[in-house]
Amino acid sequence: MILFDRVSFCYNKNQETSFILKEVSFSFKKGAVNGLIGKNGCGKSTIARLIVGLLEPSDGKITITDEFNAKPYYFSGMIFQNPDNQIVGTTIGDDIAFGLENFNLSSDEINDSINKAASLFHFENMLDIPVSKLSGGQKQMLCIASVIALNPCWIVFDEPTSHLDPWARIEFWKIINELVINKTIGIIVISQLPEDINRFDNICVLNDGEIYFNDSVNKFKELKSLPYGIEFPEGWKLEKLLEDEK
Amino acid sequence: MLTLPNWVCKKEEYIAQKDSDYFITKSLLGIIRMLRQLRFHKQVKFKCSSSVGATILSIIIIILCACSHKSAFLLCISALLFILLSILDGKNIFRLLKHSIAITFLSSLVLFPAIYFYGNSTILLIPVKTFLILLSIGLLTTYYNWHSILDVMNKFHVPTIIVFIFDTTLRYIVLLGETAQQILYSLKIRSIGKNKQKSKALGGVMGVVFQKSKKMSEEMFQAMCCRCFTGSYSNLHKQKLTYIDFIMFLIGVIYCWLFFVLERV
Ligand SMILES: Nc1ncnc2c1ncn2[C@@H]1O[C@H](COP(=O)(O)OP(=O)(O)OP(=O)(O)O)[C@@H](O)[C@H]1O
Ligand SMILES: [Mg+2]
Repeated sequence: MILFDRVSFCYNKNQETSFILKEVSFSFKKGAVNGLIGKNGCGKSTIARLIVGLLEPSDGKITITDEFNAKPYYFSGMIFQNPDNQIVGTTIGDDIAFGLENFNLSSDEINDSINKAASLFHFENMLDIPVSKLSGGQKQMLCIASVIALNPCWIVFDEPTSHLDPWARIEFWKIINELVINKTIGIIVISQLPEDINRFDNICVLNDGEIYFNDSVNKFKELKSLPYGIEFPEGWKLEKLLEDEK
Repeated sequence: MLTLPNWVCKKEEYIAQKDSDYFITKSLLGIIRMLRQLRFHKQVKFKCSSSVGATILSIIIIILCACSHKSAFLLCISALLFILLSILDGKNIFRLLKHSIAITFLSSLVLFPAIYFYGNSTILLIPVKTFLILLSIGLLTTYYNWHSILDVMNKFHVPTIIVFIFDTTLRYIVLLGETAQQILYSLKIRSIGKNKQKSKALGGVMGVVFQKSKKMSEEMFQAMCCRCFTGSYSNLHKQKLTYIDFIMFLIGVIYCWLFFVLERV
């Protein structure tokens, strides 16, 4: 479980007005797809950075625990918004190997994990291809593959499907659902696509530095109004219309 | 019904004049393309050879080359380098020669006044030395991949921060080159016809590239930290010494000996 306890955060300590998060408290649970939504610039990526420990909260406490299997050496991985800046290898194989090499694993173990992760994303026969030759979507797949290869307790996906085509998105969600069912990796997905809301089990809505809503998707469906800038998926609106007709 | 205004229906009369953007395409894009090749070219792969011997040999040759005053010794070095060069395929030979000769030419242009006024044979050796040193670096990076060269630096206890800077800089050159290229293309697309201010825009392009590089380096470092990078390169895949390394050591020793014999004459 990831627990935010009255966490505040601001980038610039000298400016009182620059608070991105104001005493927010919420939690994410393992074994479900946790969604985090909010409009542009409301601090979603900031929360992701707080979870993986790249930023420290100005105030409050973040607790990360793992109910299912204790792996104290590696808690949370993150997939950044921009795939270009997080590829560190020159070839696909190199990039997947980077994190594993930092674990001091033997080369057999490393190769094993590389192959496993690569086959999830159909990269098996492409391990020697230089990353500069990949398309935007392939780069994003590679970023996801290289974090999943590390097998962390939690993965935060920061808009993971922004460069993927609709079919690749379906594939992505299949992989996510498998991870959730196996309960090996906790999943937090930051998304800007209304249709992704259907895939979430729990949802957290961020608005103006505060938590507007944090509960299951079924309850989210019953909400009468949403903050400005966030909308229900089109399908839900139709459903509501049909219900009203009856 | 919707009626279109007249000016929409008129036939296009504007014919864009040809503009010479030779300067931009040749200068910046050319440099970027060259830098890209430094890192991303096809590697010639040799089985069962580690880069330890080759890296040491290159360092020995570079040092000796820089210290040498005799053309006889430089000839010996060029013999070795040309043998190594001739094993490569045509494309790589062309690429290596092109870059080395281009940079040598530039450096000799800088030296030209000195040659003109104080022309003696030692100054004439400088362009030759430049050429040989560039060629040997080029050969090293062609024969071995970047990772294994980093590993050698590590073996000889070069401080990690230096290895890190070396490593990331070369990573970035490629990404930054791409950024600069994109900005330049968008500039070219937007300036149809004659545009006298195009070369003025270069300053802006470099400014944007610089800002981007800062952001990119921050983000890449964060991404590396997220994947458990602790700042040490202790886990590069280890290389075992092979007989080729010993042959390389031997060649190095022979060249040291040649250096002392030939320089004393
Ligand atoms: N390094 C930084 N220094 C100062 N301010 C920052 C920094 N990074 C982000 N901000 C500010 O923090 C706010 C939240 O940024 P964040 O990146 O978390 O938004 P986001 O919800 O991820 O937006 P998006 O949907 O566009 O990705 C923004 O208003 C931004 O201006
Ligand atoms: Mg963001």
